[in-house]
Amino acid sequence: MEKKVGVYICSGCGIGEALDIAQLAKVATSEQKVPVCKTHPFLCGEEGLGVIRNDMAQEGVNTLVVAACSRRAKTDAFSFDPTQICLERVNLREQVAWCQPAGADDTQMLAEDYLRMGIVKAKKMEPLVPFREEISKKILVVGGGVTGLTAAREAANAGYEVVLVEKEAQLGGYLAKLHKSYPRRAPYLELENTQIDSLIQDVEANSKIKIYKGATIQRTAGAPGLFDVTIQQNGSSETVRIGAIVEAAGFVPYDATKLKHLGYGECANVVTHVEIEQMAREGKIRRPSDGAAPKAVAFIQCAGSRDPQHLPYCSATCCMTSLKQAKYVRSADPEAKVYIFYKDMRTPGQYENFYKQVQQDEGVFLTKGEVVSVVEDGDKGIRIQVEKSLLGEKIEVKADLVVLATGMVPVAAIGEEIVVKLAEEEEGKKTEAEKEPPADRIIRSNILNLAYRQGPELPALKYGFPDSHYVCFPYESRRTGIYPAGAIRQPMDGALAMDDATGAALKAIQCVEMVSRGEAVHPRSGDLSYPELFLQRCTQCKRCTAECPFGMYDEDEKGTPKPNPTRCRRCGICMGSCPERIISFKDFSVDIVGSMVKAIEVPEEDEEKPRVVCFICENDAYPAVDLAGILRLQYSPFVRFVPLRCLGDVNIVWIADALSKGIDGVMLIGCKYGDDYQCHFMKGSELANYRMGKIQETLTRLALESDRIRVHQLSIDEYHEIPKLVNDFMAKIEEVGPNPYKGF
Amino acid sequence: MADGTNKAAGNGAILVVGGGIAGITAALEAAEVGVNVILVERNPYLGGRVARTNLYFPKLCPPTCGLEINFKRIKNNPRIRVLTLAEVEAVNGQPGSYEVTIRQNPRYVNENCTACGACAEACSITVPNEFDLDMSQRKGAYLPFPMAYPAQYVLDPQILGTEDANRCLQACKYNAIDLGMQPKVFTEKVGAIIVATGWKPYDAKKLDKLGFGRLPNVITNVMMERLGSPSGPTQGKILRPSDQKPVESVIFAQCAGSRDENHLAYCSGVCCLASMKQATYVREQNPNARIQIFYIDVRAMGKFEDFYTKVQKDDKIQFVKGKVAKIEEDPSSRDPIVEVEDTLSGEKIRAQADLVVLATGMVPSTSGERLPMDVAYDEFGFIVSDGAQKGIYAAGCARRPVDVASSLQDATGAALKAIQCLRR
Amino acid sequence: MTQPMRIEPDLDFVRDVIRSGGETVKKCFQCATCSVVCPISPGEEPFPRKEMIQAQWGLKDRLVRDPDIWLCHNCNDCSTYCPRGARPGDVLNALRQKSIEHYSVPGKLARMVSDRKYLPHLFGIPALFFLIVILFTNHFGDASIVSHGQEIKLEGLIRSWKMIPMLAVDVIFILTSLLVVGVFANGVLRFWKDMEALRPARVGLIQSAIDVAREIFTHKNFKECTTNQDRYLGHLGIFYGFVALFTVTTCIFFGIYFLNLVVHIPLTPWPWYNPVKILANLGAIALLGGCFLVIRNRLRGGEDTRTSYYDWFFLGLVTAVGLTGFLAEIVRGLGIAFLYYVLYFAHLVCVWALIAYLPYSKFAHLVYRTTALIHAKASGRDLKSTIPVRRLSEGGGGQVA
Repeated sequence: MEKKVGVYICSGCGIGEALDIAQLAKVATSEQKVPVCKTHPFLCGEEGLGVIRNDMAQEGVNTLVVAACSRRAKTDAFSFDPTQICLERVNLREQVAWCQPAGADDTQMLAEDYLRMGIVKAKKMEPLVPFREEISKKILVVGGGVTGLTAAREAANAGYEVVLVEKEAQLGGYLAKLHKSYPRRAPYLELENTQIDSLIQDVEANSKIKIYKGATIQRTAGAPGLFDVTIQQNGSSETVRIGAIVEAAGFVPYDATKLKHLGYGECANVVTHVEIEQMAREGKIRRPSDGAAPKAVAFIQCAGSRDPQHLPYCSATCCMTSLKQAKYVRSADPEAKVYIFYKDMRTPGQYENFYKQVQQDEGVFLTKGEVVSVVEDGDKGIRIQVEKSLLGEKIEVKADLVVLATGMVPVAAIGEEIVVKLAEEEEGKKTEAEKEPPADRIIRSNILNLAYRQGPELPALKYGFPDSHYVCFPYESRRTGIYPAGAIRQPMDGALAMDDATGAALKAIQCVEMVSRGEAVHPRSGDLSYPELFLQRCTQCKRCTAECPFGMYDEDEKGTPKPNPTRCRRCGICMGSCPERIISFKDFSVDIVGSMVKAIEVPEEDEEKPRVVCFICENDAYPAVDLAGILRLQYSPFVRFVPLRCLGDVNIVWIADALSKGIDGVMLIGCKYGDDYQCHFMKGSELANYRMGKIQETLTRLALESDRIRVHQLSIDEYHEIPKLVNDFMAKIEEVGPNPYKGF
Repeated sequence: MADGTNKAAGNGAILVVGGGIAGITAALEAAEVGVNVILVERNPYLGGRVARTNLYFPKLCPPTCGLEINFKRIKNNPRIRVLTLAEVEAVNGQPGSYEVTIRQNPRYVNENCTACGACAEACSITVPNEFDLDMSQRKGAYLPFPMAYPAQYVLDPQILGTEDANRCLQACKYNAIDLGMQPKVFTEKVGAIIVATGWKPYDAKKLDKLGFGRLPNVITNVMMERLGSPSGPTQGKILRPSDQKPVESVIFAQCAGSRDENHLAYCSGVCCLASMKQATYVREQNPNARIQIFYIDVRAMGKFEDFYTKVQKDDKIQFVKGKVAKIEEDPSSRDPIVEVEDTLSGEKIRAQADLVVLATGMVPSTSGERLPMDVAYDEFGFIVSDGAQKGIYAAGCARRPVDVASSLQDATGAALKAIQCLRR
Repeated sequence: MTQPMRIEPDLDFVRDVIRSGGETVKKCFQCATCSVVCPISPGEEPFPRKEMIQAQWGLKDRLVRDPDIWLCHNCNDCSTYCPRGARPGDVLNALRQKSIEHYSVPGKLARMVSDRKYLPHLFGIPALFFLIVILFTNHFGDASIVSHGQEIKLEGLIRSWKMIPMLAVDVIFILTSLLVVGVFANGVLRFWKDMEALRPARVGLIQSAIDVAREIFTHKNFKECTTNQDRYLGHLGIFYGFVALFTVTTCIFFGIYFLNLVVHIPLTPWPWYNPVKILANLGAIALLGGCFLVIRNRLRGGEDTRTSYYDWFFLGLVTAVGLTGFLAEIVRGLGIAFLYYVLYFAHLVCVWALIAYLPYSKFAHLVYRTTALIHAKASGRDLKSTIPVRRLSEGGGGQVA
């Protein structure tokens, strides 16, 4: 397609007052030789837009450079079909007119540089061609417990084919083992039937759902829309084409044999939640030792949970469960006594009603306290000592049955833990100074058996929960198209699991729909671009395959990357990892950004106008810089911001380009990383930081001060920091002095 | 997309009532599947309660970070139509085909607005800023908060007919101000409805023994969020109201109204973690500050326990089991003095601090004011949404008091239920 | 390491408390709002939070011996502010009843007083007894009697002693009172021993007794109640009514049996202007007024106080004593003989019941509460002690849980 560039400069919102627009236009016309360049006082207005539309229709302009406000503003006005039109927006408002003195030379230079960069980029951009293939929209649900069953039913009810795989011989999972459920709906007072049977019936009766019982998943290969899942069922195995996956493998109760200090295995009459539930189901709660009906039953809460030695987290359901089981005991024998020893009674929301209800029972005795010893008596009774109780002193209670409220362990946490290897060669030459790039911990839990280069299961975040650690986007997993749900994701009860399953089913459906349109899923939802590799130049360094946070790349035996575009989140981190610069998007590439950096005019040394390039993440740092402008905060005019999809995109070559061109310093501003990372691509800013750790050495070799490069973590609401951040760095650059490579 | 550009509607569309984080999420998740959505929000901006929140627990990350992504998703998605300053007046029809009457109140600023801020500059009248719970003032022409979406100014009806209205009109170069704007009432056809009307903070004035409203240095947790926020009345510095002094000591009174039959009989679910989070605000700003958190039960469910553990490690943060039942004031310093029984030591405590934060609970927006549609409520005014009724689904805190992540799981699920209803 | 204290909840005691007006006891979730809003709960080991959990756990032995339950003046601030509707005020009330059962022997009698089905027995038996006495001792038949050597014509006279001689009455009442004193002595001594075991007295008893007396006579503690002011006046009226009537009775008794030996004391009734008579009438009015206030308050104030049968029994008895006595006096004035004798008979029975059941009815609080208050003072359990304020910024504050 013949590209024709049109540059449109808006002089509204103070841009006209701050800048010499005519002068600016010259940069486009005479310097950059742009065929069409127009200015307008209100470009986003109907008239202004009319000018653009007219040029597109009459002049055949198909590549637009809109030099006006931030790309974050007026998006409705400036929206064009990316498969037809290339659009680049140059921010003359928030990042020039609103943060620099009007009419100053430096302000003008800043605007001109931004315009150059924009035009250069626009020239190199190409219209997007969505990645489309014949895909499957079938949803695979792994696990036939309440979560899996719900996910399957809900997806099927929305009109999707579902494949449900359950490793047990029958459906229902843990819920099917329960006698009753505690109240899950208003008025939250009475025990309910679990209703798991009707759920199982719904699923088994649904013609859209194909059920594999007693089956496991041998292998999951491919990518969203194109998964090839091999299901093994009594000896034979079968491979199914799948669109997206809901992982609902559930939990197992914590292994009580590790709770000797609470008497389990030591005393005959110490049992777990699970065991007493079983007894209740069979209609008789009995002492294991002599089969007698217990007269005094003691529940010990947080048995293993909230305990650094065992499960550091709270299992979220045990308080309600013990209250429920207390009711079992009391309704079986009105003379029986029930003790409940808790750390904190956790019955959130309307569940408080049920707590209140059970409290009222004259035979239920509750207290906060720390159980310090559980020992057997002569008559197989059990003496429990509790400290810090609400009854004041240290107390001792005698019971003839003790129930341990054991917690939940996600199935994903069970198995050998493996650390994802980086490319071997890197491991070879690791120096002290070098920081480790963040490695993923993956547990071989034998749930999905992914045929991924980065390991067989979803990366575990903490305690083996394959959760995203997102507050805002709870379903984002590290493997596109695979959505963990229910107790495997975090401790939750049946009611929450059903909601969670419904949400996960939606995400799976959403994934196949977006993939079918060639769109990226969250967080760059709808992005039609995707990375293309020029493999002839690939050196099999395996950086891209190792560093992609989403495991997008597979590898052949030689180590050549095999991209799976539908797994890709379009963050471009692989672009930054590639020393050969062979990874490109149609509208974003190492070359494009490199050229933007080269487009910056570097004044002679004697002009004492240093230049700094600042690469910023477009999700958080860029809005922060905009906000600084909106609040009219002023800062040095010598900095040039270059927005990136993620700071992880930064390719070392850009920095080399910049410095060899005489740019005095390079700053990188990305999201916070670490345990509470804020990077929307998990590892981008951390990787950038790691890579910079390496470039520092290169600099020293080039006899350039390492101070010329600085990496910052900034969250979106720290916009007040921007001026300080920029000015401090400028001061440092002053101190270090001009870049000797100027004018080369 | 903001209102106007797209007229997505019809029986294939979903109506989402409430533009808080749950509503935004439900709308986006549905729209990204490929259905049309109308998102109706009463305020002039999206984001609801989280927009006023400084940081999220447990990550201590700013909500604006997630909002930015969501706003970007909305901007790029032609299937979403956002109506701000709008309310649902009536709903007729049945699952699959509803006719909803929507009333949109005038913003007095139209699509032309570039958010340049000239009108606000020209405007002299200032009014209490409800966004900051009246702890600050704002202009009569204003942008609700720096990152507000839609990024469009609003004229406070109070300035109509004043000199200021005309000053704003003159100041705007883009004919964006329309003083004659009238309320619009119109109907839309939708196939399903998601109710995400969220919550409001409990009125702490009703807790007579706790002195809120009488004692200047007794504030609520929602006020504390604004004090901690960079966009708040103090640019994020936690200064106490009586004398704007940075705080050395803060007491958090848990269950202020919650788990109390005289007020809110249920547990609001998030206040424990919110107070721990706010304790970290104070500790972050002042390495010597001391904190006491008085509680009945500390409720940090699931992995939130980690956050509790982390906060407990701070030796300047103390957790004491016992409910603050009385708050007085030291007349000279205006320091609040709380009285509690430490139930583990069986001793009464009177503790004096610079500031007391009442952990007030969540009241469903639907308590007191019912929705003009056929939904069931529980005894507290939360909407009962257990799959029994079809066509209208509640999500997030309209259903039960929950933290952000849980409410978003809920909203995502509600999106699927709504889609099923369209396809049935 | 301290020896753990063995806990064996008594389910029947829990049920007993629930039956005796403490039906809300199990609702408590130990937030301790009650201990804080209580105007007289001390800083150390405050009540009633600890009593609530002990009652939930049925720890009978501890509770019946617990002096703190007597320190409460039942103003119900705790019940008003309780977030759980556990109504600690009512629970303490029930516990006091259990304590009375424990200390006033035989406990069975106390249980009868608290159980409406025994009401006929409690009044029928004494009534029958008095009837028999009257049968043998009345002067209705005689034309005249001799007092101090002079003959008094009975014709047309309306006199209580015509129905039953003062001597008979006095003998019965003195014997009854001696029993009552015995029962109380026993109860108080045991109570005191138990209290000493918990917290030994340190300061002088006399001084404490004087302090307490002052408090009682000024009704200082009642004024503390924020939620309920009527109770203050009502209780004040009843209290001083009794004080007055007690004085009157003593005067008459003293006059008739001792003073009489020196100077001639005419038989009752004495003329209205007699100071003793005036005091008697004032007393009766105060008593009745008090009863009226208390009853009205209890009838309307369902919200901040609940009334068990046990309360009604006592309140009813007191009112009956006042009414029968007062009406009898009026009726006699009007010269309606028959009605007078009926009323006087009723009065006699009521007064006897009041005295006889003193240790078992709610009336016993006047002894046990006083004892508890004296011991509290003596053992330095300083009520509404001002708790020291700890400045948090200087590292003050409570123990870390």
